[in-house]
Amino acid sequence: MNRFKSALAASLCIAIGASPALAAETLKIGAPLALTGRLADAGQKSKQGYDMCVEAVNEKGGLEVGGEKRMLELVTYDYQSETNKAIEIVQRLVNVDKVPFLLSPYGSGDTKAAGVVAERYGVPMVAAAAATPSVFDQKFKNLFGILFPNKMITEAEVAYYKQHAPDAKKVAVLALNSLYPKGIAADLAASAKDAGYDVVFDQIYSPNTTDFSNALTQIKSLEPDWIYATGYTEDLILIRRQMADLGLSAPIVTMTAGPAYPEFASNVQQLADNVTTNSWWHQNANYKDDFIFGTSQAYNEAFNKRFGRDATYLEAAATASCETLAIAVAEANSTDGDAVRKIMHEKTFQTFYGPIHFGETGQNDYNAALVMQIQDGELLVLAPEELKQGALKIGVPPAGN
Amino acid sequence: MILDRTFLLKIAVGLALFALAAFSAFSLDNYQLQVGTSLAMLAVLCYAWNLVGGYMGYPSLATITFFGIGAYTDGIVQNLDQAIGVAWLAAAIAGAAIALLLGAALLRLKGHYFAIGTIATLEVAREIANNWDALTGGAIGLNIPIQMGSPEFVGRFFFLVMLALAVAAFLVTVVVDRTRFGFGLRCIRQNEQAASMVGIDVVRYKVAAFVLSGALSAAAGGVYASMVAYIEPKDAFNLVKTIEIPVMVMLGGMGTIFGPLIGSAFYVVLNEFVWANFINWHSGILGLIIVGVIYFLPGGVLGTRWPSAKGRMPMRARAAQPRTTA
Repeated sequence: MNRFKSALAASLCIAIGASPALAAETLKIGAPLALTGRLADAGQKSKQGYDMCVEAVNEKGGLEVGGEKRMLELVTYDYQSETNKAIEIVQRLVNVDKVPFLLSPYGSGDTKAAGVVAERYGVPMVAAAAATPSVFDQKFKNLFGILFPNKMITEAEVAYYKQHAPDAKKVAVLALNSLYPKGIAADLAASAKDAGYDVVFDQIYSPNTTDFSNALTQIKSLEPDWIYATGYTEDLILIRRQMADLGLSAPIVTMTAGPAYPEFASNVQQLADNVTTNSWWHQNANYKDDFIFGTSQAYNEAFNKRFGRDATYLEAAATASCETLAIAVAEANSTDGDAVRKIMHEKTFQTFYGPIHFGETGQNDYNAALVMQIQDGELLVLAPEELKQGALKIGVPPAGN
Repeated sequence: MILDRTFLLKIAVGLALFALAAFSAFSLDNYQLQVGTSLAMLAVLCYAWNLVGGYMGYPSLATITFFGIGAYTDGIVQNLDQAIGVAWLAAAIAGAAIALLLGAALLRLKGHYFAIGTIATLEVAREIANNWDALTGGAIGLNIPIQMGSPEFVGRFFFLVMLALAVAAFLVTVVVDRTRFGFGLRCIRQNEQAASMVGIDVVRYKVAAFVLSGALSAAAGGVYASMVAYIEPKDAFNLVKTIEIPVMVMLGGMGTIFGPLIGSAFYVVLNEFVWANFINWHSGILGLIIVGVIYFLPGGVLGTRWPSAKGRMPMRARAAQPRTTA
């Protein structure tokens, strides 16, 4: 039916002879989305992020390219969270829809697989949700990553605590055995060792673990000064509760990345107090953006108005991935791959997401890692210095009420 | 090998179909080639499963275990600077070798126990891939050298290789179907003890079928890994896929030479159709349709005598007769 309608509309346009002035072609950006399957939740969030960018750019009249105003058009297909399907869809976007630019699928693995195809065609692709450096280590010319490497986050954290909690010596690391949580924990352990910390406990737990008492009891006996736990928000909620049950406390308790989301504090209530975390992005780190939205907080307000909740780094990175492409096209004044690629590689983009510079490998190498802490229910930025909203508070409540 | 005229005709039709697909490679665009490659890959996996699940009647859920082992073997071997062909051969050999070891243990189990045992292999393999960082790259995954050439060339190359593998799987099935080996497997499906009593070396037959199946699946995994140029545990050892494969063969017709081909194509079309029309309820509706198809066509598309399909002819009644249809 829809096809019939569009055919009808198309013939109508031909019949009335749509004027070429009106018909400046839209600028297509292809995006494989994980709308169903295992990554459906993250896929929806990516789409919301992309929509924010496309709508904002079109609201200000589109992009000026070669004397024409070009509106952005997002061409999306669901890749059902399957790597193989993601590749098919990239092929479709390039061959059938003829998109000149791509946004990557969700996650490191699918980004890599799709990146190989994009590289073959020479179509620039921006990845919003791939932080693992190995995705970028083959130095593709067409793959760009918004998230800076995990290692930059852990280095920023270690440097911050080293300075603000100099008495801390022993670190215990407990990580979920999954790509990102395991990766960042390994980076943290390495960064901590380099900085002279004693890593007294470094173990992983399996997905769907519900009883952490074994690991936590061991940690308690080691009396660490810094507990670093990674996992999904649900895991971290359980870990925080069971820490309280076992009377386990430490001067610094860092959990990544759950406490950056409101669900964490609303679930563990007072136990959330003084838990620290980190993030690639948070609206409280208020950057300026002259292209769209104005500031990080204005972005978040616009997002909240549109979707009824705060944006996380995930949606913000998705918006920023599309924004960097749009800025590069506008600046190149062309949709030619080479011209756009050149700007992408050279420019430092000042966005609401923070500064973005696609380094040698194509991955953002501008370290804007945030160290954050929940204080009296509020999530505050502790570092970097120029965005600071509060000072580190030592110690978490040992038990709930 | 027992070949009557009808069967020769069937082989000819099958080969003609594959030849047609091969020639079409030069007129299809890259997207169509990519879809074709996926389809050919599913056909290989279905043929591989059909040997164990269809002919022998052992409900294996290990197809993707071997697929993943093949994918990782390909990656590891190519990273040792070996040619792509060597890596594929190594993948097939690794699949066969591990099938031999696993088969010797698992094939002592029957029915549900066997199914659970095989699914455990998938979980164990994924955990090993996740944790053996030095060999597999762990959860971070493994980069594989990228096949050089224009997108058109690469698209055609992998399509034709996967298609060649599908032809090989088809021919293996033809040989199995028409020889003493296949006859023995069917006997095992119907009554293992009786098969043993009439002089069939049950253990050897079962392990041989499992090894063949493992080698084919692993070869498909090897080609897939080279195409994707990056593998990670959750993609290589995909739980959903290991369940989808038997469903496809059931839809097409178990223990037949065309069932896996028809089943995989039918399933892909059905999946695309349901997915395009019911994006939110996709999995649920697809599940209902599959249950419906299996209920009304228990022998699959090919295993059904169409005029009597309304009467829902029970599979068991036909299984008792010597099978003459393919």
